[in-house]
Formats: sequence, C-alpha cells, structure tokens
Amino acid sequence: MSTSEINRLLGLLDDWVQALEESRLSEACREEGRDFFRFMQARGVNAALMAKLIIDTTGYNPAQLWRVEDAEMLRDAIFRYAGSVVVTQVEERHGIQNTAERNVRHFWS
Amino acid sequence: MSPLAAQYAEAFAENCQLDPGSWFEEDTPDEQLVLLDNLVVAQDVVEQMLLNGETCWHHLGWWPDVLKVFQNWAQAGALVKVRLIAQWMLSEMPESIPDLDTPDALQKLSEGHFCGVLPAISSAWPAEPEFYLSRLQWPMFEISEFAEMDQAADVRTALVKKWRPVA
Repeated sequence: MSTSEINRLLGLLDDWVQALEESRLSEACREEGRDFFRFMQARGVNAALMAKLIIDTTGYNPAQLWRVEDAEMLRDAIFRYAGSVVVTQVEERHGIQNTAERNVRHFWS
Repeated sequence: MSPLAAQYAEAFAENCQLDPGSWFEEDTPDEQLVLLDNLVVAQDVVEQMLLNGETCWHHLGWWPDVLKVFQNWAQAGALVKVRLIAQWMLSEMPESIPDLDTPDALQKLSEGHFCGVLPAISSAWPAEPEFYLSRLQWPMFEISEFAEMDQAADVRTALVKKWRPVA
C-alpha cells in the first residue's frame, strides 16, 4: 500500500462531494453520518468520543449537523465522515488493523 | 468517592445511554439530545484522573478506559508518560481488582514493553526512524531496513507484520 492510493481515493471522494447537488447534501450527510457511526462502533470506537470530536470541530452535535442549512459545512462533514471510513477500509485491506480511532481523530480535529 | 471519580461514574453511565442510530432519524428522542448537549466523554475524565493521581479500580469501565488513554498517549509519542503512570498505578494497585490481566499489562507497560498491550501503537508512524530506535527497548528494525521503506504506509505495514507474531 502507498499513501498515493489513499490520496487518490480521497480525491475521488472530494470530487463526489463537490458534485453533490445542494438539495442532496442534507440527506447525504445523514446517510454518511449513520454509516460512519455504525462502521466505527463495529471497530470499538466509542460513540461519545466521536460525538465530542464532531461537536468540537463543527459546533454541532451529530443529530444537528445533517440538519444545518449550510452547504459548505455539510460538504465538509460528508467528506470527514466518509474519508475516515475509506482510509480505515484501505488500511484493513492491507492488513493494518486498529487504526479506526486514529482515523476518526485525524478527520475530526 | 472523589469529585472526579463521581464525574467518571456519571459520564460512563450517560455514555452508555447514547444511541447513535437515533441521531440520524427524523424524530431523534429528546433524551438523546439532552445527553449530547451535556456530553462528557468518560475517557477524558479518566485521563484527568490519571494526571491528578486518582484511580477508580473497581469501576468496570475504568481499566478499559485507562488502556485507551495509554494508547492515545503512546500514539502521540508520550511513551515515557505511559511508563511512569503505569509504574505509579502498579504501586497503588489494590490486591483485589476486577480484571486479572491488569497487573501483567501494567508491568509490561512500566518496563516499556508496549506491544501486546497496546497493539495499535504501530500506527504511531510517521515519526522519524530514530524515534523508534531510541525509545523502544527491543531491536525492531535495522537502519538498513528503514532505508528500504520510503513511504510512511510501507513502514506501518512492515511494523504490523513484524509485531503480529509477538502479539
């Protein structure tokens, strides 16, 4: 694995997020947030810790975040949710375990 | 019970009530919103307790949260801090504790043997190779091996593969 693989995937993710229509942003943020918590909790990352990081980063808790009417904030949140999952998946595919919490901290700080 | 220990017990109980699935429903229950508005992460309280020289051995959540705090410190490169706090905890440990593996884990940490107790420390890369060569007690890699690994991710992979049989 190389960091270029991760960078390439994050580039694709960013392209997708930027291309999302504004009318889709709230629902996409909701879906990615729900998937993010499921994925990370399955790997033992504490929900309280993740929620606190999100509050500290955005000023909103996860239940409020997908409801805000701010396209830039929604796009940023979608990228952070999905990015931390994608990087963890790539690392797991290459046999690197136990990086989920580190990736959550990286993307939400 | 000290104020911090009481705060830990309360935070732990409230953290256990969190239901992330409901946060993404149209009708998130009010109780969940109240919990989020007043969120205190139990792990953060544990960190404060350790730094203040306080323990809460008989709380079932205590030791797992201590390990997470140690892991965060180790990943941040604060290996000496982990060793010192582990030494202090060994000296303060009561005879009867809920988790029988705790004394062995603390002994290993206090001696600087982090792998096996903190498996995810291998993700602490990318520090410079000299960091690991100078701080870890066993010869992990030769300098020549580091020279062949240009990418941080390559080094992480190599570390994990090298540690797996040990853990």
